[in-house]
Amino acid sequence: MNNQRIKISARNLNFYYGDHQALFENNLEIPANSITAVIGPSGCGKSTHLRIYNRIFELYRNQRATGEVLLDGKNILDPDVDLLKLRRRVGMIFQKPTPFPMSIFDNVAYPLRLHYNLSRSEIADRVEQALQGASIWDEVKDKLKSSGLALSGGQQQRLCIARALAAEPEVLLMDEPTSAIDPVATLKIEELVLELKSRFTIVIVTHNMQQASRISDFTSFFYKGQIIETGPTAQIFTAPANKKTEEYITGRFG
Amino acid sequence: MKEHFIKELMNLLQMIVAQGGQVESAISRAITAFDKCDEALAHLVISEDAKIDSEEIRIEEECLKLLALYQPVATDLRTVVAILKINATLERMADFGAHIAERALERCRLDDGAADADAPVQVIDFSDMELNTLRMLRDSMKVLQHSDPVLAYSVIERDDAVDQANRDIRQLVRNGIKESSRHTEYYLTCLGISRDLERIADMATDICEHIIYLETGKIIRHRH
Repeated sequence: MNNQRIKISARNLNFYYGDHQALFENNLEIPANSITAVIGPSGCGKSTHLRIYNRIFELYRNQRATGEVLLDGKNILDPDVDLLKLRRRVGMIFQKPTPFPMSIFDNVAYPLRLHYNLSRSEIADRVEQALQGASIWDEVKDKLKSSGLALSGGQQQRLCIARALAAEPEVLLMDEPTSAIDPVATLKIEELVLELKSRFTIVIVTHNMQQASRISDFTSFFYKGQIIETGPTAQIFTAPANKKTEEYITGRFG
Repeated sequence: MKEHFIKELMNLLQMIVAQGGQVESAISRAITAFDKCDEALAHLVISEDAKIDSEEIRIEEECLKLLALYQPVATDLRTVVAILKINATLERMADFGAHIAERALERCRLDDGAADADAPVQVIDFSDMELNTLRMLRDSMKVLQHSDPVLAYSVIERDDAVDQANRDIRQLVRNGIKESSRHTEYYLTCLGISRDLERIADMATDICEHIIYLETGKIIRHRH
């Protein structure tokens, strides 16, 4: 992690669902232009942690975070943060593909119309770029007007990645992006994620330990709302420092 | 699935420990054959080396199977990798055992041909070096069996004494050959044995280093 610019730095982060505390004093640094995998058993707080980075949790009632999340040094939990701008900079991909009930083209054009004031031809160009970037252009270029919902699961997920890319984010949060997708489509998305890391900072929550070891540069292990260990992925998967990490990744619990 | 893997890993550990036992007994018999000029024992060691070779292949295949089917990580991965390396080391150790057995046969022939009056001036005594090497070998097998890092470090430390004994014997051999060229064969056999013992001690050290890696995740090779 040395020498690498830190894109996101979570400091003393706590999170509450009403009275229930779900995260405890999380400290995590996410290096820029790299893939950080977040692993841990169900209910350990991985997704909760991720959902703080673009404040998407605020869409729900009675949820609150304390501590700091510095994005390029600026605390995004400050009240003066422009949420629309924050969510443009920090995009998110969910477990289940979430195409909007509209055409493939309009799905990708949506963030462009929301965030930027562009001419129709500029929009068309950027839609194509985003679909190319998400490695789905060749499969959909002849049916841009058909519904995004008509695509296969793997294609829908890549469409959602294209939609996220169109907003030109700096960070991509991925919450188990391949858990609802077959192995071949999963490998395609993994390839894509590896290509994207030269342009974005990626944080991926995954239940699939082999996925974490295949694609990530850094791995962070969460357990019961605490960050137990974070380090270079190769080190975590060959010789983790913490006994709990060892037990989890070797399948002795969880 | 996990329990199944652990069962397979335990089985693999048993295989490597058993192989270690075979190798230890081959080497200690070879040394006895050399010390006592026991031709029959030397032949036995040489012929049994083939069994150790085929067991080595079986263990390697088992390791590859576990890696391919279970993709182990962390301590499980280190265990399989350490076994893979120890397996290769044990096989090479056994080769040195067979080599010593061959030298035992050479020595028997030399002894048969030599008249008493023709004995070398400088008789080389291996007993300390043999004892130390055998002890390191036995302890490394104990380390293998019980994954005992404390004993592992003590074996590693003792390697220096065997290295020194090897250097001392080389010097004796050099002097001996200078004094009497008629006994060159005898001295060359001694030099060979000394080198074989020194290499066996090195490999006992290697095995201990692999176990330390397995236990701690730290690679300590090439640091001493």
